[in-house]
Amino acid sequence: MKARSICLFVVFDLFVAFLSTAAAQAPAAPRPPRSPRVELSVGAGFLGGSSLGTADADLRGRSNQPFQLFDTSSRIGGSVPLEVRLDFLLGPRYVFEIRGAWSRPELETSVTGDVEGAPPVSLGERVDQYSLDLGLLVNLRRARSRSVVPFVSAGAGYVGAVHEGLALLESGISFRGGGGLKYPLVMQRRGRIKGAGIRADAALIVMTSGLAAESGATRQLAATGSVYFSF
Amino acid sequence: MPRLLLVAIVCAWTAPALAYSHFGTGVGTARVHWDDTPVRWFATERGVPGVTASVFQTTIARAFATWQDVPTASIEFAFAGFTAAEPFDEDGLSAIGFQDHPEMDRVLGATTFLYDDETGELIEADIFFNSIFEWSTAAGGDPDRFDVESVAVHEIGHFLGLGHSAIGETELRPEGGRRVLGSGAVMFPISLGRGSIVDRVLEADDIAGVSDLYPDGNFENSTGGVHGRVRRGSAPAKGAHVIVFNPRTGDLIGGFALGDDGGFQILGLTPGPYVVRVEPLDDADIDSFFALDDVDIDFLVTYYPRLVAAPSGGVGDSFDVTVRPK
Repeated sequence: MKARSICLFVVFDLFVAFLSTAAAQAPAAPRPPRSPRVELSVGAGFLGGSSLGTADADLRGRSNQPFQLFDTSSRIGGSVPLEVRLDFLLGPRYVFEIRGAWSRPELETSVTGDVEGAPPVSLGERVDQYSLDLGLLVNLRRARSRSVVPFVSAGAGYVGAVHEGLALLESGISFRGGGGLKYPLVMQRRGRIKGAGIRADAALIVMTSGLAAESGATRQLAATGSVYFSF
Repeated sequence: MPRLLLVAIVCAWTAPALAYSHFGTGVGTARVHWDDTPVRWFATERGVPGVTASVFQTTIARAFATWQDVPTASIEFAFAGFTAAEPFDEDGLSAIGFQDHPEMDRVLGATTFLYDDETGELIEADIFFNSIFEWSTAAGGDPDRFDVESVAVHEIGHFLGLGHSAIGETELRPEGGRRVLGSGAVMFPISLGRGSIVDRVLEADDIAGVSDLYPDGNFENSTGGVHGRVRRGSAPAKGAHVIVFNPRTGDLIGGFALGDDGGFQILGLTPGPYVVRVEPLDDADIDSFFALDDVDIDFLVTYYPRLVAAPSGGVGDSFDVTVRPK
């Protein structure tokens, strides 16, 4: 009984070896359609405001005590960013991401406590804020049509702000971390566009220098919705 | 044609004796300044109780070093020796020392200049410290005496060609004169009083002033300015004091609306957004700042309703601040 089993295994192995050899010698079959390699997404959303800190306009007073001329509290207002992402699929789960965004927040400084009794006033300035960063996105599930794919992502890059009248360009570094959901609406193996879907992102963006407060970093929450196309 | 200009560039304590302004505003388009460095200075051989001539000299040297050490300015000084010459002598020596001036009973010190009135080039500048007051060079100050180094840093600002700053708040004293509540520049015209040593350290307004007058290397490219007009209705608010405040750095820098149209310009600003505040020039005698007959002080403190960005290496768009009468 045992000898018979061994014989069957040997026959099977020989058969596999034959098929392998035959396959190698057979004419090349048509290559299977390749998976999408690039995704382009375009979207908009909301970029939350953030405090830029407080600062007192202090004079040097008597007995080394500061004498307040007025005080200020500054923040960067919320804005609606437009966002473009170019994703390079490194595999089913890992994606290298280039993200660009533009928004027009208002810088706001409130002035209070004027020593000569001037009424409190809020001063503003509109700035154009640009960012360009590189990051990594990790899909937490393989993409299937009509099935939600959660992901996490993080990146870092450049952020610049152009002040009113193009008077001044300030630049800094931004870091972002967050996640979101993708929902493929169409997936196909053939054609130039291999898929399309919608995507929602939420992230914490930390900005240093640039518009950020002189000391420390500025934190902003961002939420965007996008449509994406796979190529 | 050089001429001696004896001016009331003084540091007072209870009476007004000049935001960063250049004394040279009265010399046509030229600014009073030193062309050749190092600028040589002499100390007089006279001491006063508590301050020997030697200690006085080392204290004055420290005060000169305070200005020389401003990284964005290029001006150097050299102590040339002790001299029997007196401050205010027109002798080509820049002499610094004590003198008795009982008739100037509210004046701690003063600076005079000999300069070319065509080019603004300084030929001589003298500083006197009024020995009718009690002076101290104690490291932490002496509550009963005036601090030589603090007054010296102020007077050396004039020695360099700077005028008085108006960044400060005062109140009138019942017995006459003014009491300083706070000052935002060493070049504020009135001293904080006996015992105070805060004027040993330069403020942003002082640094912007000396850097604008003696710019070093990249200063002009790395800093910017704002300019505009102060208006009351259709008329200029001449002489209005304009303060700009950088909320990121805390810097306060001032200037005056001295243009015929109420125009002002403030340079030497760290690039960034600024709060602009305009106030009447009512915290010291107007003539301690400049000679104008039609200075408008009858208006309320006003903030320009927008933040104004100071660019790098230039000035932004002009803007008008409209003030309301009191």
